[in-house]
Amino acid sequence: MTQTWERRKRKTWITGTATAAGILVLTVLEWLAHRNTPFMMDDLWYSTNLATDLPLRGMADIVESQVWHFLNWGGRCVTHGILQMTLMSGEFMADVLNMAALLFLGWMICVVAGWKKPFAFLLASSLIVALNANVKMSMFWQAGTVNYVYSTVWIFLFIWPYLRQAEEPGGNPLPLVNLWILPLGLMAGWSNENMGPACLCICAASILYLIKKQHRRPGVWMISGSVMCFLGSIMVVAAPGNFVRVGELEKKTFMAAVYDRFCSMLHGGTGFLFPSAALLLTLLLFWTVCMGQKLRPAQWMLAALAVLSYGAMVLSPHYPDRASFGTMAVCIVLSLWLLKDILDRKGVGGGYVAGAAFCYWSYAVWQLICIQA
Amino acid sequence: MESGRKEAGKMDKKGFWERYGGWAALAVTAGLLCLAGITLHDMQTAEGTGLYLAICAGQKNRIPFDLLVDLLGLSGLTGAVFLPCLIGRRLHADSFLRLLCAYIAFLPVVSTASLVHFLDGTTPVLLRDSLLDGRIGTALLEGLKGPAPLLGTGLPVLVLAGAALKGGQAGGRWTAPAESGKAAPGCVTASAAPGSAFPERGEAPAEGRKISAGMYVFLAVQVLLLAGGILFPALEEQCCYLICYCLLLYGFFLWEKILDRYPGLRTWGWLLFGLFALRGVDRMIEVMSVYHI
Repeated sequence: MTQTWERRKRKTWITGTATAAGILVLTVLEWLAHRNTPFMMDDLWYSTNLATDLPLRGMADIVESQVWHFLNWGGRCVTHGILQMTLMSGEFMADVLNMAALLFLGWMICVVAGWKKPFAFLLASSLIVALNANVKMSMFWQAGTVNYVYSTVWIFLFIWPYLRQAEEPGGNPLPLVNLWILPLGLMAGWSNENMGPACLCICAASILYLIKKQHRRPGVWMISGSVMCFLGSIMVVAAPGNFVRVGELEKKTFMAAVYDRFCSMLHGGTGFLFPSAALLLTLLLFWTVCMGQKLRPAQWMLAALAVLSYGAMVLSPHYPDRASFGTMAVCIVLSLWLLKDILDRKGVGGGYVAGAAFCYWSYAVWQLICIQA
Repeated sequence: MESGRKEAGKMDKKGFWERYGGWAALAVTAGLLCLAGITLHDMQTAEGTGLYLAICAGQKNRIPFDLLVDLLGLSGLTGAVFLPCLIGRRLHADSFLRLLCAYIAFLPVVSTASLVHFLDGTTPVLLRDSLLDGRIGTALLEGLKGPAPLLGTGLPVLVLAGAALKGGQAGGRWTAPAESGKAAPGCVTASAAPGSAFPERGEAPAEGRKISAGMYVFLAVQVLLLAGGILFPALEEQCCYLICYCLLLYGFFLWEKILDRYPGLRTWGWLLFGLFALRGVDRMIEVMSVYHI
């Protein structure tokens, strides 16, 4: 009895230490990658007042820039406004903020997946890097970090209460949710062209689920948050700047455009998102076919969010690798959730999961070293 | 009445798949092999492999040599997929298709020109320059560039598939089949501990901590190939290919065992293999687009 207890204690100590060391190594490497990636490309342009081409001097310049951006370049005013603020704060401060956002994203993935353990955080942080189609441009380039890492954080913050409500329809809503859901809804909807509208669909699905299946009235916050998300989605999709940019693109015949979109979606789904999709499908098959379990409503919603955010890219003239970040993050949440459910059942060797986690962690470390080499 | 109709519908569906499933698998296989052949032809004619062989043979007409390279390449691919099916006694159209899908999704693209130059000794097998200069870090970064992505895609999925094969259940619907005690060749054994029906959560059973001799051989081969790729740049491409191929074979036999255990995967598993097939098609389109520029 004592021996078993001793063994368990030793095992817990070893696992805990290994997890802490893994997180530490990853965090240090991420910090170094941030420090070694200077402001570049679009960052230099966004460091100026877009309307006057003069360096940014204050909030008034940012507002003026974003009005110009909305009318002439594209609808992502929230993310680009925040990008300009971080650029104004200087490289060191921007790196501190980016690092905080990255750690917070790892934590938010654990929170949405309902697995708040250090091991889950290590796995989430490793997966963000290991499954990423373009680590440097989506996580360390300043414009990429704000567009993808920051926006995914507030998207998860926004959808989390909805998924929570779908999981526990009778549960109490989060404190002051009526207040903070409004700006978050607007920011989530206004984040980018694929994730914003996809979030709106998930909010609508959770409200419908409550009404139709649970025969409950949705909270006021659910409706008001969805309305704000809808407004944000309209702003990002219908911005006049989008049409200005599309008008500048080379005109193609219908068939050429269809072929291009087919190739771009094929490459997006089976190239950029291949590692995430392979992991998610494996776990889905494991959970549903091998273990004979069913997906829960919130898990279905996350799967739908992944499919919708990927599918929405068919409307975009091109699908850059970094644009798959949001869909990848949703796949990570669902994968982690399924993994937690699988581990909660008896009979699955934790060693296998630790082995898979070690592979992802090693690859993440490798990627981070390669960025700086 | 209603349930009877449903049952009949199910039977019809089953009959349909039993009747036409094999043909569908054959059609998809033929399509993928055809696309692979076109990709190979595109690649080798652009690289001038057939032309090089024609010059070496003192012939002016390159076409027979181009056709020879196409034929060798395609038969090599078919053989690499067919042999494991033959050895594993899985001579079904669906097994072949599964392996083909995984092959085109994961195996690295090997340039026919570099292969020919390697085989005829034009490319000398020398130690890596960075190693000779004592820059071990650089050598590792260069040598591991090929196999490293396996850590982010194939390998963890393989490990999780291993968990599905070795898993058991205590209560609930997940049943451990009778042969759970048997070890797959070259697998880490994790059978149920004596005295308890199934292992507890997170605990490997006492009996299951042994690693089979086959696994040691497999690991040793992988380490040697990895070392070969790091030490000799000329072998890098070939070693990376062989590492991936070994893992593919391991995955193939593992999956076929999983299929025997969970027959439901015979249908639903196509979701995963469909993804592999699409990935392969995407890679082939990409290769063709590169060689057309």
